[in-house]
Amino acid sequence: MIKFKNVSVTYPGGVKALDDVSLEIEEGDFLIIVGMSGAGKSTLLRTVNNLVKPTNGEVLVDSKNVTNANKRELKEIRSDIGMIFQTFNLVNRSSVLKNVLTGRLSQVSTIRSILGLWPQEDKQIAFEALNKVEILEKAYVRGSNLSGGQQQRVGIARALAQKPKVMLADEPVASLDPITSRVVMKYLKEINQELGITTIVNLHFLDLAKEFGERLIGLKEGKLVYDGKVGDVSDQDFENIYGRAIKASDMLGNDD
Amino acid sequence: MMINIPKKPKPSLLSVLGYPFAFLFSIYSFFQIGFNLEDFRRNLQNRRLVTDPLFDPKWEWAVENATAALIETIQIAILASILGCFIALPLSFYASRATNQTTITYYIYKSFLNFIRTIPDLFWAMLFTVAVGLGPFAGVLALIMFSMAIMGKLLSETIDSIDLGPLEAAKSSGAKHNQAVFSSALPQILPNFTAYFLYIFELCIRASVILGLVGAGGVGRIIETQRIFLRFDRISPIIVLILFAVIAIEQFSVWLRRKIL
Repeated sequence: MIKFKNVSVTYPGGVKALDDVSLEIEEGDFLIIVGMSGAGKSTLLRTVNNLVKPTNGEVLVDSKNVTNANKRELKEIRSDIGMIFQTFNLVNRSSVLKNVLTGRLSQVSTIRSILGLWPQEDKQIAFEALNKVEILEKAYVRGSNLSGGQQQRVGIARALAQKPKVMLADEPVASLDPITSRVVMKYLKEINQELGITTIVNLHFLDLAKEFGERLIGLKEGKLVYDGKVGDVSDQDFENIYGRAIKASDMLGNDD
Repeated sequence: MMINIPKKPKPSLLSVLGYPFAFLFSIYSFFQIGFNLEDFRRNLQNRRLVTDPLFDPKWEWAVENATAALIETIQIAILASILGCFIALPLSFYASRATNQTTITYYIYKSFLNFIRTIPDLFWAMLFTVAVGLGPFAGVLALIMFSMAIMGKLLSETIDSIDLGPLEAAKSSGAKHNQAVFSSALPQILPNFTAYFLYIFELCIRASVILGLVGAGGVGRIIETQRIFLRFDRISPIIVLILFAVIAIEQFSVWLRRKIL
């Protein structure tokens, strides 16, 4: 279970990104966060693995305090939390396999990882993760030679290779076209259902949120303004979250 | 139609004061330095003392006496550029904001590299000839400092501008700092490192010729002794030999760069 207790984040310079957010996420949930850009979605996601440290309040993952963890504890907690990024964040010059093995770094010694002496077991995990997102045949291809959708699948494989309990996806489809967007969301959903990994996804496309989400929360200017089942959410609710009328650009739409 | 044309900005202080100042200072320097065409003409009449022997090169003497020293020069450059660049590689990651968040160590490494760079290679050579004695070893040490300083500067600034996304990804998975840097930052700068290395190797070849002048080994030593005796007939063929060697090595380096990158 992930628990946010009165979490606030104020960035240096005075921007208040999160304002007293309290929230509980059950194990195995598939949670979608919507909100305008700048509403604090990314910040909320990043407090879960402490890439952003809350200025007030705290975050617990499986009753372990992330916010106050020391360096060693934090690395251990992070190794259980996979993360997927809007811009994929692959090392373009390295092979797909090497990128996926990055997800295993926390499990091997520095020397082994630098010399590339990966235990067979870790390589096996990496291959299985690539197989899961059906891109195994690209294992020895350079990251830069893949399409955007393929790169994001490698991103998912990298996170999967951690054998995580929690999966964070920060705008995972914002750089993709509608068809590949749905493919990527489908993988995230499958992984959530088959492996029971708690998944939190930031999205700004409302139709995609409705299509794949179960629970949906809305952020507006750093405040939690909506929390409910996706099935119950109305256009009026979306307009409250966005603070304006719904526009066509808020929808991913179909590719045809 | 009425449109609001924005006001033209006033010329900056630099262009109002700076350029006239630069112009006047150049003219002042011209007289201050004693830039005098008359002296130039008068001295040109004594030129035969230098130019006659220069155009009467003693090839046999040069090949016999300078070849070994020239090879030593090249060896100094190879050894120094390899060692210097590989020492600078890890240092550069500590001297970049992107891969070193600890302010204190960042400034320590940065100023260390700056300090080494401020000292000219000839001065390093003099320092090391005192420390380890005359000879090529002093030359190697001097050029290691020279290579390290340039590589540290170029590489740490390249690291400053890498894509931080992959680093964040590695960190978010619980990787240790060094693991994250090695797996996610290093591959991004390897092509630059290779290019800088070849460039520094060329600089070292040229610099190592000069080092002999202060006794740090190589062909410069022979040039220095012959210059003292005004044997320009022996110096000119050595210079031509060096020219050929430098051209050959630079061509090799250009070919290698195209091959690797």
